[in-house]
Amino acid sequence: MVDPVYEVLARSALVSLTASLVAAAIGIPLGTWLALARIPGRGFVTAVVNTGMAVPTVVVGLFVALMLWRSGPLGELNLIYTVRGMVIAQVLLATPLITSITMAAVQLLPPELPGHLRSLGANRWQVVVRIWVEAKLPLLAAAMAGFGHAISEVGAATIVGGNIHGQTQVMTTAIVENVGRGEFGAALVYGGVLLALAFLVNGLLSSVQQRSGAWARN
Amino acid sequence: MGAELTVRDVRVARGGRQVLAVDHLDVKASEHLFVLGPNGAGKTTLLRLLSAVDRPDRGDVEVDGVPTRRLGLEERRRIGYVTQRPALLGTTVLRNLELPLRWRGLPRERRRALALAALERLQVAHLAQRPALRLSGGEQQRVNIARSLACDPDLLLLDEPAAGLDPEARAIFFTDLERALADRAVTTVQVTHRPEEALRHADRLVVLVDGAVRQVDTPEMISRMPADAAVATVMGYDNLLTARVTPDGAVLVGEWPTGLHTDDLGPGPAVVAAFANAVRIVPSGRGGLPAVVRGVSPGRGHRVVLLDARLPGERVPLVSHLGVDAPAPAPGEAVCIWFDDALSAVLR
Amino acid sequence: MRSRALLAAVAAAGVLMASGCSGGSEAASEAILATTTSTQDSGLLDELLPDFEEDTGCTMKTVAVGSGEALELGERGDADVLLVHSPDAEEEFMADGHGVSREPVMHNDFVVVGPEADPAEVGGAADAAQALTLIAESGAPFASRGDDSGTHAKELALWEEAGVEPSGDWYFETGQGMGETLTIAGQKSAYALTDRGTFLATANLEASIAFEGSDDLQNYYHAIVVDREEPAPCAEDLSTWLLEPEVQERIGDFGVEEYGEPLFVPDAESGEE
Repeated sequence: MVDPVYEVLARSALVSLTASLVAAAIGIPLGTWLALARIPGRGFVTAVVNTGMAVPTVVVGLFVALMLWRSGPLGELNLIYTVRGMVIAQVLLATPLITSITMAAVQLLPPELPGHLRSLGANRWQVVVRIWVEAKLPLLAAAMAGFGHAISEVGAATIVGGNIHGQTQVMTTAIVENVGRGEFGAALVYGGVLLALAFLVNGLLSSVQQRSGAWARN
Repeated sequence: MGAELTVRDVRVARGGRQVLAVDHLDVKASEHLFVLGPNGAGKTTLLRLLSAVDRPDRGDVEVDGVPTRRLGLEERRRIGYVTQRPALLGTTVLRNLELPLRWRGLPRERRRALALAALERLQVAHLAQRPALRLSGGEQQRVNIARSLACDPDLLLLDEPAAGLDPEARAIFFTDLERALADRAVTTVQVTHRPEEALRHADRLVVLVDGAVRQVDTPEMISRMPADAAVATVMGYDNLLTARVTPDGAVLVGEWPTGLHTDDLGPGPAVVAAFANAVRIVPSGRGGLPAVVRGVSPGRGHRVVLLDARLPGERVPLVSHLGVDAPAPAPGEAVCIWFDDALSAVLR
Repeated sequence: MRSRALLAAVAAAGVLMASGCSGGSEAASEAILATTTSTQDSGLLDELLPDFEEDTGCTMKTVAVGSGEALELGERGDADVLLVHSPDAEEEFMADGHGVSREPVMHNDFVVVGPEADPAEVGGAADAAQALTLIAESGAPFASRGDDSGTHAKELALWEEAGVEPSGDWYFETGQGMGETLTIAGQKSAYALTDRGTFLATANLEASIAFEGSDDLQNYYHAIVVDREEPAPCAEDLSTWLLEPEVQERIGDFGVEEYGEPLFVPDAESGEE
């Protein structure tokens, strides 16, 4: 039967946390590069990232499922209907979002900052690290937004995860299942937990934004 | 030992428009060079080339003989660059100073000592633990310079470091800066649009107008003999008049005598550049350039007299600084004008 | 739920009106229907009976019990008509002369699907219960709907029959519909119990029928009119009514709207079991 709420919650959190960490590891460097690079191809990649943000989660889910299906190109890996498969799908969902927010955050820094850091004697890597430190609060917000996006989506989780009880069932797919069975009470419990989580994440986000606002240049 | 700079055949274009063209410029070791010019003359563009942050489209900037585009990290670290807007980092003042030292691999205690010493030198040691971005503009700029000094550069580039400060603060600032630089062999290049500061502190002066070097010389020489009208304007000459040099060297404005004489220029059209205190007013009928007094107001240690010179077919506005002990002319009064030789320049 | 309750209320009103207008001649025309819980729980009777009552003026009292108990009620004369799915017992019931007539009404047809290779070798099983036992013993994965649907109930009944507790790493529940569950089973090389219709309707499945056709995969429903000393006309009427083409069509359509698949296959026209 349906897992206890806490087990599903723990799985949801684990999947989405892993996915958003991986997505941050990709999206933050990519977004930084897009914000700073002055080379051809940058506009195209930016357009791809922005399109990526607008792709419905079910389409991402479908794409990942087609890749991971046994008949698909990555079928050998046996990742369809597994937690790892879900992480892959959510990484694809969260990465464009994190990349885009990172880009905006880095572009909000003083435009002369990278040149300035170089002139202070920073090497390439020291420049990037310092830019991340300067933008740490917006970058944290980016990662949290990625987490929020991942944990609240249902389309990809259903298609790639399969809502298998005790294995790949997460909060959102549990809600869909319970609504389908007319178990509105159980659906509301999951919904409430998800709402509380969203509230927590958003609360953290806004407090982070307020702090970063207070720390902004005068 | 301060670094030596050589600029050779440098061209920079922005959006298809040439913004900087410098055929040749040398900066000697430990020299204090000022780059003077109006807004948009290309001063910051030049400074960014010298700092190795930007590269010229054509030509070379060499630091001790090495082109900036081939400068390694260690060689770049000999250059300090103080931007016009103090780009401090979102942390404490002390950490702002320590970070570049950490990049250079200095041990912790040494970093701290160097940072505190630099803050001390710019009179801002008391701000060490404050968040850098909450300081006032003047404090931030001092921290900004201290940060560059802490790294002990061989070449220090400063872009309008006193911008945004009121005149008194500027004076104190430059005195402090001069003191901070006094005991070290560092080549400095400073950008400013204020001639008085450049004249006071520079070993040599470069006047940049419309992206081109118009004159390079000592402050004394440039001030006394600006190369052209644009340089004269940059150097703070208050009055510019179209003139003519006669075969015997007399300088006439609108065929009126001016009291000026030149042997170097030869006959032909010329420009008279005169500081306000070079314009001497004498009663009408005593010869010179006829003018009408438009207004009189008190200045700092002098009177400011606004005049209209009556030239054939036009009225040219002039400004004169008059000693407070001299009798003040009345507005509307017709007067005559002579120019003081020592405070005027005749240019072609 | 609400619409069904509404329908029942309207139907009840219709019954009251009918009895009020037609006087006492048919006042006593009521009958007791003993049927299995599955027909009752599926909502099929709630859907059909009000219309039957309106068509005929009969009033049906429905007793939902297991097939065996339903037959017993008939034998004791406590029921007038039976709708049950227990073929062997039914035949015995008829042989003993307890029934006047026995007509096939409908059935549901289940199949066990699994990987082409059939790793649990269920193809040679004697019946579905044995097939499931083989699956459990081989440790091959099995995908269950786990959603309390009729098919899920059937599957659980088969596990019980097989004497296997379905739990462990090999057994997983999707909580989704039949089609999704079949897709997942296909991708995970798992076995699954499904009705034949959905299996046929699901495209791109990487699964094939591993076991089919045994009695315990079919639920054949027969309507039996009980032989009583005072036969209730309504019993005969219901048996006839259920076999009418329009009613048979409704049986075939039942559940499509709610579950996306028919729950029963009408049997009257085929006339065979």
